[in-house]
Amino acid sequence: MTDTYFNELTTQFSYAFLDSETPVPDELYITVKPEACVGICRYLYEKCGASLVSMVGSDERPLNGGFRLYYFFSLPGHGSSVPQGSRSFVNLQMKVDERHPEFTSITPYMPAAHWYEREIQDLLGLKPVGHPDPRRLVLHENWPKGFYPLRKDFDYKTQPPRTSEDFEMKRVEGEGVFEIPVGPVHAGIIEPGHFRFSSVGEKILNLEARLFYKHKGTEKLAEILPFTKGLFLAERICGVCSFSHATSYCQALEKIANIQIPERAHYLRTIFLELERLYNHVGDVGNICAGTGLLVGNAQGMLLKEKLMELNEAITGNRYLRGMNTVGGLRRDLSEEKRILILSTLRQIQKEFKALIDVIMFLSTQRDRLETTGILSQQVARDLGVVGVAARASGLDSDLRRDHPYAAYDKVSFKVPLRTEGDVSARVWIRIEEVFESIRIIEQLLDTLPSGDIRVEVKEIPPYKYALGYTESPRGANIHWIMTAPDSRLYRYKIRSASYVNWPAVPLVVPGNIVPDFPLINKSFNLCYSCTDL
Amino acid sequence: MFRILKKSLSTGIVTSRYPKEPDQAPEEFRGRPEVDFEKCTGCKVCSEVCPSRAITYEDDLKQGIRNWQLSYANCIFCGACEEQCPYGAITLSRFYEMASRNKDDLLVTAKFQLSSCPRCGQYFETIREIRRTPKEVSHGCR
Repeated sequence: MTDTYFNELTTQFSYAFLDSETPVPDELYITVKPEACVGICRYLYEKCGASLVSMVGSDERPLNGGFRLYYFFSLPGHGSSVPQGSRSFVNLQMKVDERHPEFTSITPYMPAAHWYEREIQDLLGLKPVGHPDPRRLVLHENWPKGFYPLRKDFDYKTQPPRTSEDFEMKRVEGEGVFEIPVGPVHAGIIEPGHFRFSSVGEKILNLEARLFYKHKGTEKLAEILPFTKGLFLAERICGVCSFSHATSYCQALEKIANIQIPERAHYLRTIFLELERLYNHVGDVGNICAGTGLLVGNAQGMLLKEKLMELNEAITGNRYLRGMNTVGGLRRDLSEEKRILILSTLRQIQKEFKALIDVIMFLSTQRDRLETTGILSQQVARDLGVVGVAARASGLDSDLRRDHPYAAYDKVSFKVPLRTEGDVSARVWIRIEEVFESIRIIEQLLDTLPSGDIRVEVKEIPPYKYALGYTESPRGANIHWIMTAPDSRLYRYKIRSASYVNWPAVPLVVPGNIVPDFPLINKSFNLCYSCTDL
Repeated sequence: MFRILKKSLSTGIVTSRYPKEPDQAPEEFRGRPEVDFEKCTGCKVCSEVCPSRAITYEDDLKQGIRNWQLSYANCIFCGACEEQCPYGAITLSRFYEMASRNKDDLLVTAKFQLSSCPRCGQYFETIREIRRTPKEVSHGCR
C-alpha cells in the first residue's frame, strides 16, 4: 500500500528525500529536507486527499544532535473505490537544528496543524515561523518563558517560578455588544475551561475558548516510567476513553516489539472497546436532554448508562474497564457465564434504548432545540481535521475501525453511520445509530469468539523503535505515537486524543446561535478536557 | 406528553437502599488490597511494580530492619502487586468503603528482619525471603 505513494512522491520530490523506511507494516516514514517539508505536506493534503492525524516534536539532541518533527498523514487507497482498510499512514520527519530552533509553519495551508505547532512551540521551544496565531496554548502566563518541559535537559521535578502576564483575547466591540466571561470554574462537575462570549442580546457574535488549565505533564511522566507502568498512566488519560487509550498504547508497543497477540485477545479487546462506546453513547444521548430541559430523558439515559457500567464492573472488575489491557494481550479472560451475561444485558439495553429514543427524539420541543443548532460545515470539519461523531455528522466519512482496521474489526461487518446536516441533531442521531451498530458488533464477536490464550508475555521492548497505536474511541480517533528508549522505557510518547482536534471546532459553530444553546452544542460534541490537556 | 408520563410511571424506583443496605461489589472487583503476612516474605517485588508508589519500603541498615508500607491513599487499584507477587500474598478484595478522616488509617505497615551478608556483614535481604529462595546467600559484595 505504502509503495504506491512512495513511488508517486519520489517522482515529485526525489530531490528532497533523504531517507525512507517502513519499520512496521503500513507506516511509511520519509526523512525530508526541512525546506521542502511544507511543499510535500501540501501535496499530500491537497493532491492526495490525505488528512493530518498527528504532529510530534521530539528532542533528539542526545541521539542525533537536533530536534525532530514528525508529520503523520492518513492516506486513502488508490483508485476510485476505496475498499475497507485500504488506508495507510505516510509520515514525514525532518530535523530542526538546535542553533536555529524554528520551522516553517504549515498552518496557513493546513489549518489542522494550528494547535500542534503552538504546542510544539510551548513544550519544546521550536518556533513555527509564519503561524497566523502564535500565542501560547498549552502553558499559560504563569509558566515562565524559556522553560520547555519536553526537552530532555528539563528535569521532570523542576518547579519553575510563577510568573504573570496578560493574555490577549480577541474582542468584538460595538454598540450593544456584551462580553460574557464564563469559567474556568463552572456550575456543574466539569473540568476547567474559559469561554468568552460576545453577544448582542441573546445572539452570540463570537466565542473565544481557552483551555489547558490543568497541564498534568503526562507525556513527560511517561518518559521516566518503564513501559509496564506507563500502561497504567495511559489508562488514566481520561475516564471516557480509558480502554481506548490503553489499547492504543498496547498496540503501539506490540508493533514495536513485533508481537502477535492471540486471536482471542483481539476479539476481547474489540468487545471491550465497543462496550466503552456503548456506555458513553447511551449516556451522551441522555445527557443531551439535560441541555434541553427534558429531565425524563436525562434520567432514563443515566439509568441505562448505569446498567452498562455495572455490566462493565461485573465482567472486568472496573466500571471504566480499567485493569484489563496489558502489552501482549489481556490480563483477565471472559468466562462463559460472562459471555452470556453480556448478551442478555445488551438485548435488554437494545430494547429499552429503542423505547427511550421513541419517547425523546420525536417531540417537537426537543427537535426544535436540536435541529439547525450548532452547524459544523463539512469544509470546516475537513480543514480542522475533525474526527469521530462530529466528523460523521458533518459528512466526513471517517472511522478508523473501517479505514485502518485494528484488533478484530476486520472480522466483523458493521455500518458507519453518516449524516450531512452537521447540527446537534445529526450528532445525536449518529450516536443513536452507532449504539445499535456496537451491539451488533459485540454479538458477532461473542458468537465467533475463538478459544485459546489471551496473553503473550512481553518482558522487554527494543530501543529507538517507533510506531503508531490507534483506536476509534467514543469521541473519535485516539492516535498514540511511541518511540522507545533503552531499558524498556519510552523516549517519546505523543498522545493525540479525539477531543484535542475537535475542541477548536466548537467556538466556530457557536456564532449565530443563542446563549442558551451553547451548553447544548457543547454537549453534542461532548469533548474531554483531560484528554486535551495532557 | 402521554408517552413521557407512561415511561416515568412504568420505570418505578431504580435506586438502591445503600448505605442502609450493603451493596456488594462483584467478584471481579479490584478493591482494597489485603496482604497475607503469613505468605509475605518482604521481598519488595510489589513495591517495584507499583506504578503509583502506594507500596514503598526503606531498609534500616543499622538495625537490620526493612520497613514496608502500603498506603491505600496512593493506591490506584490496578492489581499489579497482586499479579506480580511471587508468593500470592496480595489479593485485591471486594472491600471499597475506605473513606477516612485520618490518612494514617489508610496505612498498612510491616517490619521484616534483615539478614546480613556472611562475607561483608552488611544487611541486604529479609531472612524470610532468603529462606524461601534456594539461591546462594550473597548480595554481590565481592
